[in-house]
Amino acid sequence: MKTLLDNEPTERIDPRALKAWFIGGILKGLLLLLIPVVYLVLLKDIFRSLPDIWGWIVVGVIVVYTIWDAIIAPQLRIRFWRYEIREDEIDIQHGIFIIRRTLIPMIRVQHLDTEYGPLMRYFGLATLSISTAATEHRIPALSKEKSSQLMGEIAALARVSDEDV
Amino acid sequence: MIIMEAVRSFVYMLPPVFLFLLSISEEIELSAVLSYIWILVIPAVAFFALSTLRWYLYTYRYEEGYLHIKLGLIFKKERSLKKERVQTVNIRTGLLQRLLDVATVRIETAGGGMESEVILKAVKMEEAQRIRSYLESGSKSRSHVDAEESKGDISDNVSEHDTEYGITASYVLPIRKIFLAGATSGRFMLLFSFIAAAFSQFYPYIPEDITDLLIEQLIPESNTDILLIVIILLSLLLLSWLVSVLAYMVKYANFSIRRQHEYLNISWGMIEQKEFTLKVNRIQALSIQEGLFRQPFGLCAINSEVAGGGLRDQEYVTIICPLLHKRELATFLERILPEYKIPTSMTSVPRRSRKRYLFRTFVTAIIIILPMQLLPYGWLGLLLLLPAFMLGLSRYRTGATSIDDKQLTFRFRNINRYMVLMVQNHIQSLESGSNPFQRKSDLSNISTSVLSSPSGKIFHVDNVDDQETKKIWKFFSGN
Repeated sequence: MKTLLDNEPTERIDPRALKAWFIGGILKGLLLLLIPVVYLVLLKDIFRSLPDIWGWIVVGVIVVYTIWDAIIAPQLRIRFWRYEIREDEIDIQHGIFIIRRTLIPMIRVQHLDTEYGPLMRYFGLATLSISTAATEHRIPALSKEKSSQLMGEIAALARVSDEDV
Repeated sequence: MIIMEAVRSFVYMLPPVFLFLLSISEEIELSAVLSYIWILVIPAVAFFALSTLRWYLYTYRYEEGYLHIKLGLIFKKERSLKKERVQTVNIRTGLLQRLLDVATVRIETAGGGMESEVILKAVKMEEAQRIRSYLESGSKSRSHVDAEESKGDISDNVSEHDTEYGITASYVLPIRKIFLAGATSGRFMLLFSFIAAAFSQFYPYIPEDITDLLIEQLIPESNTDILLIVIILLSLLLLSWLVSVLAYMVKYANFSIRRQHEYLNISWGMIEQKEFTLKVNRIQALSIQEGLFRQPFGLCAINSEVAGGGLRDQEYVTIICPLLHKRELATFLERILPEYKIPTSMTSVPRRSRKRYLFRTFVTAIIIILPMQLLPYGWLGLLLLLPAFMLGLSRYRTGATSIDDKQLTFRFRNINRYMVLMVQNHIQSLESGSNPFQRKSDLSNISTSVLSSPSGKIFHVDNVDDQETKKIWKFFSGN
């Protein structure tokens, strides 16, 4: 598939993310499944006249969405998320249909955050969030070691001077 | 200052009291009220005493590159500001303040947050100017300036580190232009909003028969009556427009902007006068807007995105010039903000993006028209198609980018037409995105983010040619 601009950034996100996203997707799907289940089982006893077919359609939609969200999308994401930390800038590329490439000069980086929910933490992954004065950019699912290493690297390279902002 | 504070507290107290009295108006007799008026004297005296106390305890001192503030009797508060950290000095006067020849000085430093802002209320006018020049002559010429010395014109205090922008230039907006600005600003509902607000406030108090009479008058009984109603409405609209223009003119009267070394001094106002001092490097981007009503005349307005200062009660200066003719743009910038240039030529988006622009406005129009079909007269929605087409075409023709030395310029149209000038130093990040269709045609959308108040702002030009995107990428990247 044709990529945006030449020389794509080289690094990819951690493949363990596949498992994390898979489980996350399945859980989300199960949660969503509650809605049609409630509809089909409980409400039917109360309101006899509602057609069954809607319930099953919703189930179908949720199943398809979950297959996409838990299996297909993570694969594509792994393939398409790229980043590169150079001495004077950070280059991030992501997206499947709509591909976006972002360039952040090192001197614009104001602070870094690592975020991790319980699922990610179980797999030893975290999301690195890079904030400039204006916006926030994320690199998801990096291994914890990698993200603290990057934090150290970027913190050393980033020097926001007062006169510039 | 005592008078100021006392009057101000008193004035703040009045409306609630008035409303309170109004709400219980049915129960009290007017004569009884008058005899109780002396009750108001007690709070007046209390305010006076409080204000005196506050004045006595609030002191400031400036020397040796610092501004010290002290406040408090039981809970003392002291703050020292380093002169170099001062980014904005605002001087503001209201009508009352002008009568007493005082002003409010607000000082903002770098860093943001509660600690970064200092407000000096009711300072004498000359003193306010003195404070300002003292703080302004900050960063480079520290050793030169004493509080006494800085009474005069700031150009006397030129330091040996004179930058190449050591100019003093000014621009004053003539009354004719202020009128034009107000007339073309697109505001004309002022009178209507007044009427609506007043009406909603006093509605419960209007006696029944008057409301009946009004309703009778307004509902037309024959065709001639409708004509009359329309004429009345139109003349009300005209009046409202005139009132809005007048209000605008009063607000921005005496607009002037002055450039001194690395500071911009912007002031305007007739009743409430505002004066802002802004360090030029706080400007993150300049945006030149040609509003719908202005573009046909070749007029535009210049606004700026400014990095925010303190947090409370913010008045972000963004107006650089409320109205300007396009041919004056280049000279204006040369004299007032030579850091920014109008590009002599821009690279427009390529031919093949035309259908993308048209497609987008069309689709939006269709999304609105389709549900309209369910309503009576829904077919009127089809009238939207022509303006949608024209908007799309206009957007295509406006889209352009340009790189000049260290400056990136975007030109685009949402409804109004914009040209945004950004210097590389102040661009926070660059992003390029594309969907599969764009990729096939070697097109992409490009967007930048700059720091604005209160948060970042993103500008984008859509469907730019890939070659141009690569150039912009290279401009921004180190490699």
